[in-house]
Amino acid sequence: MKAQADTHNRTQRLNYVLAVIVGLSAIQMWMMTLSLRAYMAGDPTYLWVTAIISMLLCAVNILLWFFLVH
Amino acid sequence: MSAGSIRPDRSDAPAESWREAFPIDVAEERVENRRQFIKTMVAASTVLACGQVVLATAGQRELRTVVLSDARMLIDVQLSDLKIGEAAIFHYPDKHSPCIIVRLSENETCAYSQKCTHLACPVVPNVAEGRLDCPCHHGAFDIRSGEVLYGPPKTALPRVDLEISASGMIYVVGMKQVQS
Repeated sequence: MKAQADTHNRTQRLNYVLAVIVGLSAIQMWMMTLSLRAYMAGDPTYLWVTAIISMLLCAVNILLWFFLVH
Repeated sequence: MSAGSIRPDRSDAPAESWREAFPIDVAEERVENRRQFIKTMVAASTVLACGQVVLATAGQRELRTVVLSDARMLIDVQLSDLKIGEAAIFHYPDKHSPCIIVRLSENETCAYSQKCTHLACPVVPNVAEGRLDCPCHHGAFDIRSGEVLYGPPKTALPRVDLEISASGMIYVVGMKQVQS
């Protein structure tokens, strides 16, 4: 019984982490489309801004994975 | 493992031999699948971030390049007129815009606007040193790329694109400048 509850709790927490990582990755995808649009339009202004935001999101993803899942 | 870890603690599990072959309990399977999926998502996220850095780096240079002219023109200098290390002057895209063509080696010829990007003094080639020097204010540009090496200029020399026919006729096909 205790083992079942433990597994359930772990699954729940994993679900939360998964939701956060999927959410952050979705934002990264959005950043990528913004970058591509800027590139196609010949506007270099936001290319580095979106790249830096994407790198920060990636770092958060890696930290979440490393400390909570790995 | 940290206190916040989601990985199960199996320190109390009996050390049976079949455990090594089947390390995951049925109840743990969904957790393992999610864990694997998270790993894939993090890898994809890393690839996306790297992709954006590559895109930004490529875009930074490419999008700063301005086409000053794309007119095609035959110039009155032929490849046979230029010995290695020699330079000649021509005008492109109009007669008020002097350009300099330099033959660097048997197969390498480059051309730039002759007006220094500082105050429009004419630059002179210094092939031995690999530079185009501006004698007015002691600026210098790299002879192979047109980039500023030192001195007051802030912007690279406009580069003239060349096409050389088999007979040695030289066509100018455009002029581009990388903005600083």
